[in-house]
Amino acid sequence: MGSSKVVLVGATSLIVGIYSLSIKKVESSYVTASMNRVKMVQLDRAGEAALRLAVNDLAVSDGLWTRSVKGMKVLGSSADYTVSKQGNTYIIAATVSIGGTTKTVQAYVEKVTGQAKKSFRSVHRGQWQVTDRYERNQKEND
Amino acid sequence: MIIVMLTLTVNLNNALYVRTNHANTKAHVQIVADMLYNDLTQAGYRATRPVFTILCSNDIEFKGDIDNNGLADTIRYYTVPNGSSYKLYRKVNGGTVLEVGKNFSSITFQYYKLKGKITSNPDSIKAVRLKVILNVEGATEGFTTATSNFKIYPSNL
Repeated sequence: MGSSKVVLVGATSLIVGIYSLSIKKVESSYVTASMNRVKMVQLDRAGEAALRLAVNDLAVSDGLWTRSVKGMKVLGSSADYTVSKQGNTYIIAATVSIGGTTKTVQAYVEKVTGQAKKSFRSVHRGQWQVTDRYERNQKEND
Repeated sequence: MIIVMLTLTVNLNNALYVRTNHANTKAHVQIVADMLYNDLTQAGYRATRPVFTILCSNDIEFKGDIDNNGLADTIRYYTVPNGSSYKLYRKVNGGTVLEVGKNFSSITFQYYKLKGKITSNPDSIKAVRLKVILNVEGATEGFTTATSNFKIYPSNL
């Protein structure tokens, strides 16, 4: 093979290689965008699960436990929650974290007369039900 | 040989430009979608009924305490035609209008009842579907738009 052919093959390989790497880098940004959506859904589910656990705690103790629970493992995330009391309303502050993103769920829970409103979307246990809630997603460096 | 090399370089460069542009547009769509998502998840929080005061396919206004300060805020998102595309605006409590983004191919809101049927009754809304389509700057073929399409179930409706 002549030296000019060697140079040609070498140069072509170099060009293709450089562009392949650049396109791969772009592809990884597509994956990052999709993974952000996955993480958000995962955090939603974990926040919901932590809230359900806290409401269950309240129902089991019938409002006697106002406490902090730390380091629970919920659906692949780490979760903490605190239950405090304000008059007849209990406030649950739950925090779940996955890979540097944290979700805070603050919920107001009350004991109702009779059974709590039953719906697949509402968080309730026995006579205890969530009346209001606030959610916030936050990245580690926010 | 030189022509082949140059053609290869130009083609690869073009492919890379298109992909990068599309990836950037996808990231921009994601930011807009996240903004809408974060606001809409608070719909109904500490708010009086009806929560939704405007429900059009390109205009939405709802109440919810988005900053958790104890008072319900009124948030409005609406699109305005801008040439062949649209601009998206956000307004909180009737204050200064913020231009969230431009060059949208379309932004549509759809409102759903508990069992998944489309509704126009503000008291029946339990979910909102968002479809955000953003034009890729300068693209005429291939990856011309980036889309984010998802449904939000606000907890306090």
